Amino acid sequence: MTVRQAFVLALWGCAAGLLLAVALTVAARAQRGRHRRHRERAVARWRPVLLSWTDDRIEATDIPAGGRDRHDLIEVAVHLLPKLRGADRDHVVGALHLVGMADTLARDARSRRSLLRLRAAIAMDACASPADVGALIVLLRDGDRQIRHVAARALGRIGDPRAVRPLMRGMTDRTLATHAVSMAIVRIGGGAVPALQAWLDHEDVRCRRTAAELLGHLGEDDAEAGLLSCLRDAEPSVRIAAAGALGRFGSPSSIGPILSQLHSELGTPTFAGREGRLCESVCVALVEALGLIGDRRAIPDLEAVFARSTRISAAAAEALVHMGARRPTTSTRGRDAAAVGRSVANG
Amino acid sequence: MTANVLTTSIDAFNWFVLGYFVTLNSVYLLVIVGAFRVMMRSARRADPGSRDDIFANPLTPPVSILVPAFNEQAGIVESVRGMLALHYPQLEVVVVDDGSTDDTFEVLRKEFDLVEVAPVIDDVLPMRGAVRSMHVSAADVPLVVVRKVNAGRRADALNVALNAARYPLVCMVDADSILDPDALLRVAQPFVDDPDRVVASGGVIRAANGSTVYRGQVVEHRQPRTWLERIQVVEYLRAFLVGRTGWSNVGGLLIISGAFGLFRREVIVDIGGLDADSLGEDADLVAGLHRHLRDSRRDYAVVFVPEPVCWTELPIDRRSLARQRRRWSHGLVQVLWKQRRMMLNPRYGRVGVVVMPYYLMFELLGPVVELLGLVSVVTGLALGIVDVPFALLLAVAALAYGVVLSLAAIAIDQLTDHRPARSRELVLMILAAVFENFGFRQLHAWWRLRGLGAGITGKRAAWGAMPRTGFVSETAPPPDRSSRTDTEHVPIDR
Repeated sequence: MTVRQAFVLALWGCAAGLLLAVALTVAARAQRGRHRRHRERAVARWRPVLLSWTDDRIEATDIPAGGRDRHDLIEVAVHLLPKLRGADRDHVVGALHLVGMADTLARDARSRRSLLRLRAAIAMDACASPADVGALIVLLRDGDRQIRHVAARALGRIGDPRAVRPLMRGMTDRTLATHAVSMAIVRIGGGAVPALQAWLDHEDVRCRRTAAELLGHLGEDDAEAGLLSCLRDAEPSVRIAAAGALGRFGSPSSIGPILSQLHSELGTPTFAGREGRLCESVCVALVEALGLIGDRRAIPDLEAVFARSTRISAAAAEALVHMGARRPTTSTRGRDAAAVGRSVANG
Repeated sequence: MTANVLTTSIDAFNWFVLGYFVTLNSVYLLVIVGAFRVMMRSARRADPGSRDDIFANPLTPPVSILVPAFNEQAGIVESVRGMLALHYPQLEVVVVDDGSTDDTFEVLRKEFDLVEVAPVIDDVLPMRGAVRSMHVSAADVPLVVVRKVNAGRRADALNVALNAARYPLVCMVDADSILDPDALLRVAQPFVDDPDRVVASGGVIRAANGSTVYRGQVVEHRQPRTWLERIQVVEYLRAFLVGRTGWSNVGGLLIISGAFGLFRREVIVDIGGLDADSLGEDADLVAGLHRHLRDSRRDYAVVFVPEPVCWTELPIDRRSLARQRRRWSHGLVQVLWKQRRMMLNPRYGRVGVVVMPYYLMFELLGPVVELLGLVSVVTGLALGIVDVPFALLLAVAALAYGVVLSLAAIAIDQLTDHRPARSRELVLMILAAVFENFGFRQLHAWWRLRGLGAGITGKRAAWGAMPRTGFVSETAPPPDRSSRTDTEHVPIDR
């Protein structure tokens, strides 16, 4: 090929590329415009229908005729339902089931197209209907990570304790992320406590740490003994989570074990290096827990930790201010504990 | 004989330049195609409930937002107010006043009712400029302001902020950056999804010039008024949105812009913080993270989220733009030299084998090839060594191909951004993508070449004043046009 031929070829290639890029830009805008207009029409058609269902009133004309109508209705419902509460929401979800949406979603949840399965999971999440629990548990094992996470969220919103074990299994085999499982379990609430307590002895550090953190948020008193034993866990992150949970519990009976562990951690010769910094973080968590519990018996021990490190001193100062044992050295009116703690640290 | 050697040399070099540009643009085309796939998938699979879930989750890690500020009195209050109003469950803002000579601290003190407290700052990272005082807000806002002696480097101020930060995730932003309300929540999502692996996450940087700001948020995005700024808008789209999305897609993200990046604090501490001697501290940080984590055989991820938006102000005149680009190029020399052990080393995966050689060959040496190629072709044409079709072929490979890539970036943005441009502004962007190649591109190559020279000779870069227009605020009088010293991040990219 001669240079001239190469030039002509390259010129044609670039011209084609330019035309393609411009055409793509124009097509992109046109596509977005079409999508927006379609969505506006769908909202105009189905939003009044959905709102009329809040009165538990369904007209024959409200039933979507074809597949496209059904998907439009689902899309509008997904955006409307989070804004509804109580009976209004229940009526709309009930009506969606009556007009056959449950069947549509169940069918979509089994589709081979991941986009359809995802949209079905998102719609089930918006509806949060107990009737979908079975389908959602199946979706927890989906090959698509995003679908699994949406299914976990939906199960949390429904709050059915049957979902606890599949959710925790998902975390154990690492098919579900910690946050997806934790949020679902927090929403399920007390029904998840026994399983979480069992997890405090799990071989996987992530499971032990998450169980300790979640038990602290769920606030079930039965969990205290297990959390106290976690204070001696070999993994620092589990000890930090357990200290945080015990601080949230606020039980004065945990003061002794917390102080004992604090003295043990303070025995570390240095807080330098990665291991040292982790140990320091455990001390900070223990001191913060003592501050949250607020039992004045811990005051002498907290006064004694000031010399160890800046972070521990700041945490101890915050804890002492929280207990009313120290006053801020400035006239700050701030309610931020960190600010107050910083104002008294070292002094 | 001499004439023959000259002819052969020029001819061979011109063919090399042709091959170079075809390779460069083709690699970038692949990056753009990868970015297109990622962004389309992300747009199609939007999940309205995911952000609320992260916000409500009690295990979502709290974030310290680190804001180094030097002579930022004009915009610091608005920026801090915007950061405090971000949609995120638990955060604190740590502003480090890096020895400002204007009223940066005073305006903060008045606005947020700051009171002095005993400094409680870790010493895990080195600090060159001594800490003078520490202040917290007496109002009910999680704001900490640290005043320090200026050490002439943004990285030093960031190390102080890292020492003062109390949360496990740290978000580094520029003092003149404005973040979208959900930006932090979205850039934190990878940390929540994959807490064991993700150590750093970057977000999209966009140009705010010409946009309207209301209460610390960009409410109306428009094209800037000058062609110099419009061309930079297209550059930012190509490099920060599409380029980084594409590199992240192949696990080769080497730069997270200092204007907006979220990091796990402990790993920054592990590598000894930011290098205060580096002019490209943001690139140096990410490259250092890759090196450290690969050396310690940790499974990790550095990701880019194509959605979150941080708005930043672009240089408005040629002089400050030239200074910025020289500094970027100088910083890249420092980073590549410092991390030279990673170059072509399979131990460092794609970053070592693909990305670093790409940066060396096409980012660092690009201006050398471009300017020498230009001189060679013009000389060849004058001497009759190069024929016109070949010169045109080279122009097509270098310039027209470049325009195609810029237009592709604009197309992807239009397809995926939830704020598509108006028709007039789209036309302006397309024209800027074309105009960029005639004059600006060659000038840019010259600035980069000077930065490269300064980097090789080890010349110390000056940090001079940089005039800015400020943001167009709906509530404020016309913005102050006074000069501010540029302590910006050093993003280096195409």
